Amino acid sequence: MKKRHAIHNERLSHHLFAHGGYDDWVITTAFYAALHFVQHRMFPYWFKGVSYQTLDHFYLEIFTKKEIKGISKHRCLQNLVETKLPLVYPHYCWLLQQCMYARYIQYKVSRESAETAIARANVIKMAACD
Amino acid sequence: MKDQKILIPLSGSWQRIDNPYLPESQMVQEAAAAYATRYQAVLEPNIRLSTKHTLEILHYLIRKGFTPEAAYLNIDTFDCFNVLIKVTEADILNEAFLEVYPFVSESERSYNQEQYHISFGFCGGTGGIDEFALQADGYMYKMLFQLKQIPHEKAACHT
Repeated sequence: MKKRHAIHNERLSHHLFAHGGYDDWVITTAFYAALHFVQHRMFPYWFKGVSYQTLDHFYLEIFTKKEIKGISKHRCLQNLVETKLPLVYPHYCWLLQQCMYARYIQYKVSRESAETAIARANVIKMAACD
Repeated sequence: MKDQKILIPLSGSWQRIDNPYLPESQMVQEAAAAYATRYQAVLEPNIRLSTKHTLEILHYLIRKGFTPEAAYLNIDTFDCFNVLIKVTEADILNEAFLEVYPFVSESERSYNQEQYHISFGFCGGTGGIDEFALQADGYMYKMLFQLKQIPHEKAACHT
């Protein structure tokens, strides 16, 4: 399911890049492709003897109820990527932050930046679907 | 050895961003003041820590050859701080910038304490920063920088 959604987002990012004019959305869709690729790779996730089927399940159980409060679901997934997929952690952080902070740079995203986003999402896909 | 240009903080403290459009009613100001007073014993040392740790990350970036342009602080709660560092478009697209994320993550872990949590993020682009958008998201403070020509030996001390 997650892989299918990841590919759906990946195709959209490629489509937007090919047609031009929406490079901020290329970054957003590339990030959300990466987000689903890493979830496809990491879930079900075993933690302290319990199998968590989805990020939502894990987040509700671990991050909002028990161990660490006040951490967003994005941060929760970022921490999991760092632990479980350390080689693509920098690529994931880059995509996450470029997506989330685009509004602070008035959505002025260059063609090169959009191209880099697609390349970094592809690195994550390769690691998640090997 | 040649002298070199490096970026150093214009001031070692956070400055409140001016924004004439920011609605601050008396009630909001009183609430903010009451919160600051209530948590003063923790908040003030934490702000000093956030300055120190931000400077450490900035110096790391400079040492790696990157060009931080500004840093913004969001005080989410008395014990939770978020810092956004603006770098150039060339920096953010540089493959070497990927090394920054694991370093910062490790630094955050070493900085964080029971009543102090800080996280760093980075953005870069060709345009300027929209400080109103930042303030709307709680980034109310800014650290400024200037480019200074300093002797090589001193540059080593700074970095």
